[in-house]
Amino acid sequence: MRLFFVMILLLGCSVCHADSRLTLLNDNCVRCHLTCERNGKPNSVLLWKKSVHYTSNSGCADCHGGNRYLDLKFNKGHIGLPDKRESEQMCGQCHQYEYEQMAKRNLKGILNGSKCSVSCIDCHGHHNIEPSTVHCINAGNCSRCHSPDHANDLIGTIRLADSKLKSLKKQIQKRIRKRYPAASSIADLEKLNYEFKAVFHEITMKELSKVIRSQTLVSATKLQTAIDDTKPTNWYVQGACVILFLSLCFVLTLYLSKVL
Amino acid sequence: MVSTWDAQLVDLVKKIHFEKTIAPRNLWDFLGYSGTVGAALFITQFCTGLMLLFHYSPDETRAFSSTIALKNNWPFGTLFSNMHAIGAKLVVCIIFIHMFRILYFSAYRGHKSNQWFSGMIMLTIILAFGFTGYILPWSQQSYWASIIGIEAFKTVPVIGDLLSWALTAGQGSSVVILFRIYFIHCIILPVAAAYILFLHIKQVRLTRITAPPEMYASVDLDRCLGCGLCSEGCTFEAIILRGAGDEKRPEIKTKWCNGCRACMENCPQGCIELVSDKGKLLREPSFPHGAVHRASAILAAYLLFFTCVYFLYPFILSDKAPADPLQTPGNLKPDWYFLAPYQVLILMPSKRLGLMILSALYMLLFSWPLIDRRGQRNPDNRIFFVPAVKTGIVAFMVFTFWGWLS
Repeated sequence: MRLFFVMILLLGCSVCHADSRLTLLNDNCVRCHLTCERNGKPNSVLLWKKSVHYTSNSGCADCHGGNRYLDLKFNKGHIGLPDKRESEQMCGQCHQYEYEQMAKRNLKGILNGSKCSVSCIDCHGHHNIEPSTVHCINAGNCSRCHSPDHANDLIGTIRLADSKLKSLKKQIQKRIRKRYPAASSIADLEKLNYEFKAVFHEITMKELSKVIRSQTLVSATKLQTAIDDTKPTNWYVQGACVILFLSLCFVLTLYLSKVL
Repeated sequence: MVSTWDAQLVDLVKKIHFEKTIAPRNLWDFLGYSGTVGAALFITQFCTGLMLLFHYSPDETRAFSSTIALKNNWPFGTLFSNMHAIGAKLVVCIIFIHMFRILYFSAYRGHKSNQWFSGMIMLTIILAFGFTGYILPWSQQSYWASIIGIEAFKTVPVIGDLLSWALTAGQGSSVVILFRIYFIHCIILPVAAAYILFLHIKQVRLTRITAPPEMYASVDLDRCLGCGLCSEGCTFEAIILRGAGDEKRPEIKTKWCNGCRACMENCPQGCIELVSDKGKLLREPSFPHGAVHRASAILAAYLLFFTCVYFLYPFILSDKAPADPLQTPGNLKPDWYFLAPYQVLILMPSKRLGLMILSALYMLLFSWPLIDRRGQRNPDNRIFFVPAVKTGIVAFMVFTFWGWLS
């Protein structure tokens, strides 16, 4: 009976405290910035609440510094509102690889004589950050710098590659459910996904469409052929034999313990 | 003339056969074989680990593909890989059952305290095996688990940065950490585990299996000579000699008796035995009776093990993808035995405070034989300790389930 009440108590606590993000909403940053709006711009806290940073427990202090429970002064690490270049370093604190990829890309652009360079917030936003999918590449984001026709062509290629990869994933999952050997297909698909995502940070827009067509789509076709060629194994027959043998041994030991 | 080794073999068989062990009274007593089952599974892990070692490459660019190549290109590759991954989860479960049973029976007192300490060290080694083994495949889960592990090590006071540097050489999660984890998992931990396991089993052989907690010593006063050897052998001061001269007879304080059977071993008349309200202690020859019971327990565990390996592995082992530093998995969780501490860390306002609380709980558990030295063993008479142990078990299960859901 005592145990029952203890369990109820522990489960009851989880009614309010199941969501540890509640602790984020009680911090000093949110308390002020939730109620103020600057120059008619959307409220940062409300934007952040809809973002992937909110769902992954990344709060204000993780990017802007300071201690959200104790002290928000500049001399305690709070860096306030950064400029565009500083924002890349802010993102790079956690997303180190992406930061290095972008730095290489921008350097390549500068060496090629380009006068502009793209930063993280141009595609991913600042407070209303969404999960990184191909939908970050959309006419609204791209057309700020590029012509709409160029943007549409590129978006079409990207969506084609993305849908091809999703289709391959579904086929592999179907094969797994039917107990086909799919370990190498999974590995190849994930490698392909990795290379597909890496190009967005490494390659300039001019080369992106060409690289996707020549590498991603070609590799996807080869993987499709490999998937179609796989055959089922006798895994279950082997398992049934082992279980049967162990069961017989177990019954034998039970018989012996009765006899002895 | 009988050769020496024949005579020694016959002596050994007689010794094993006539050596008595405690017979199980019901199904719950089969949990007493959890230590044997844990050791059997640990040996299985060692053998399957050797198979994987022959094909594994501790290089960041080749680690994952080597695990895939093992499954695709080598006979029984998938079987060994599944056995090793699922065995790791099962062996921790069995060791937890073993540990909680020892705690419940208070089988850590007196000369058994060294077994408790070596057992706790063994548990730490097994958890370290689990953590390092999780990282070796260098999949998505492995890579991000290594990042979280390094961040956790950094919060250790004083030596945190040193620990983190030792694993990464200051380079973040990279091939350096993978090779160091490989070295720890395949060289340091197995050597340490082999030595500690040998010590632990040797201590068990010396101090014998603990009797059920409701048992206490009882003297047949008619046959007793009053020699006092039983009182001299009792480390719990549960036997007092009353009377004088030839009328000296032992009186046993049942509340202090720990059921260690030292008095039974010392008594030249064999007039002491363990009894309870339900009757005498049941004993049986170690061979073949005890061996058959142990084999039943091991086979039952293996039945569960191979059922999971062959039929339930898609629900137990997550789809492995190679490490992708560009993508943080949405549902990142540690292995099941770390879910409860993980959930506690999430709930704490500060990681350091959470780690300190978990460390304090671990140290309390480690040093428990120094706190609870003697007294009542019968769980029915322990009104604080037994509910506290049961609450701890329930809390662990609740936090594990909560961590799995969140």
